[in-house]
Amino acid sequence: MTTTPVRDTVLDAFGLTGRAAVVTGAASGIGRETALVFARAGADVALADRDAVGLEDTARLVRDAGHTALVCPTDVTVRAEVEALADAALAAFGRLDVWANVAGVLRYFSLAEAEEAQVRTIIDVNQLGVYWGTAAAGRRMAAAGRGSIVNVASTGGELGVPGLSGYGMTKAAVLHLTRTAAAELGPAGVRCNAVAPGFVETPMVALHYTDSEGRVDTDARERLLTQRASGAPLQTTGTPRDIALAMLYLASDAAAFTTGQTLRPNGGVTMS
Amino acid sequence: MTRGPAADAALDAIRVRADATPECPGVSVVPTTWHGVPVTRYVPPGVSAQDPVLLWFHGGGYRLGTARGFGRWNAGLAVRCGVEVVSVDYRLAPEHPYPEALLDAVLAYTAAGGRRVVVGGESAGGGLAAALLLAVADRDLPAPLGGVLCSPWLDLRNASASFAEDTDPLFPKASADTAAALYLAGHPATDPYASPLLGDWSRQPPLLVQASTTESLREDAVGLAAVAPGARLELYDGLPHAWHIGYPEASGSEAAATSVGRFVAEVTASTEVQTT
Repeated sequence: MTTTPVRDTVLDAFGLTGRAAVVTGAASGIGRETALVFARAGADVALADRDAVGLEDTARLVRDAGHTALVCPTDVTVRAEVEALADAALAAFGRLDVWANVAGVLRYFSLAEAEEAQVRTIIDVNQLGVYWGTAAAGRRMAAAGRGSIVNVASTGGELGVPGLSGYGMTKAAVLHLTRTAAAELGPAGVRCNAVAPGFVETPMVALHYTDSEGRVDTDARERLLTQRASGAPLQTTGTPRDIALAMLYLASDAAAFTTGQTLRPNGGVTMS
Repeated sequence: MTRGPAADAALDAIRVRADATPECPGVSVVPTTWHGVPVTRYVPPGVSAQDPVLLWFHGGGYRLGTARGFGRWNAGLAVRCGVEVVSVDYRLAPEHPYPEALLDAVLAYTAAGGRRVVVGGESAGGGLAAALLLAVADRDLPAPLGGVLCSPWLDLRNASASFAEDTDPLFPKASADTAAALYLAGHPATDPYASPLLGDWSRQPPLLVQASTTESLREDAVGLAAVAPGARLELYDGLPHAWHIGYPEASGSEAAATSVGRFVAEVTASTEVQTT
């Protein structure tokens, strides 16, 4: 009896060999780790962020690991810049297989006392940024008849959390945009899914325990991590890698039958 | 491969020396940007913005050189070919490794818009022009009229017989390996966009490919002529790598440049017939 070598064929489905991927928010945190994981899975990666210095650092990490990075400083709130990012990735790589909308900002403010500028900033980055990215990727992927878009939402988009009215609203919008994009782009062969991470320590959340001069209050940090871990059945907080590996699954052919879904690497904080 | 202040300073010094601005009598030298990519336009007298353009990529192992630094050669080429030469300041390694240079090449090419384009370059620039030809075909962009590849570096594995002969002091294997490592920065040398010799040359326009019999890159040129149906190979006897630029007064340089001029005239004239 002959058998197919299961290990090779199974793992191949989770790989991105020969693919080209765009990752926004790639200068730090989950975006940087996603870019590294995609590259290690075999993809050429176009790195986008407003932070050009951080982008170069991510590019160096990708290249030092023996993979290929294209540096594309981009403000995702500006639609023309997102379109230029898509054009650059296509021009450089000749294909566009995966688009990860990771760029996001976190702001805590009181709903009743919110300042207009705060609310608009968070909508511009977290909501419209993902919208422009999904549109730019979706149009080009539909023309090619294939592609996978992965959007980063949050537990905060599903749970009511005091102080997260702006952030939570935009992340809920990302979840619904993902479903709509899946319905609209599915017939053209393009998948769109979301990852809703639980608490992950990244530069984005460091504002909780870092003062304006960059000093870290280690006690405050410890308290926060302990408190967040205690709220999860797995009794731990996540790492960027936990999220990036979930992103990889949705980006890869392993998820070929999966679209419009929300994957929740969150330690079990929410389960539906 | 080391990176650091000392290495950066050494590279800067070499770049400054390579960038000494030469005289270009009779030719307008116009620095500008095309699709965000810095280019230098060398416009000879009597050429209009509707005429064909020779989009050129300078040599320097993907890590050295500028459009202005090769100004005398490019201006001479513009006069000889009777076309505007647009030399592209594509980004260089190690700061900007593959595929940044190719992206700049594609962006500059698409910026030429409705103008009829011949692409070309010497050494690494010839390799980049060749990669651009492959990329243009892969992306279904409008095809150029032809390609001019002078001492092109087409296989970054640097493993050909002519490298092994070790008769080329200007581009020995050690230099080529260093330059390749900086440009590739981990990307596989077997990717045709990095080593265009390994690409599909079946759908390409006419090519003029020049090399010297004693240079390291001879077999890159010979190999391309073997796989590209539209390639015209010219081998010049016993001259140094990219001799046209380094030794413009040599008789071989005059002959090679004359041949480039004739080739550009041919490929640009044939389409004028079609479009009128």
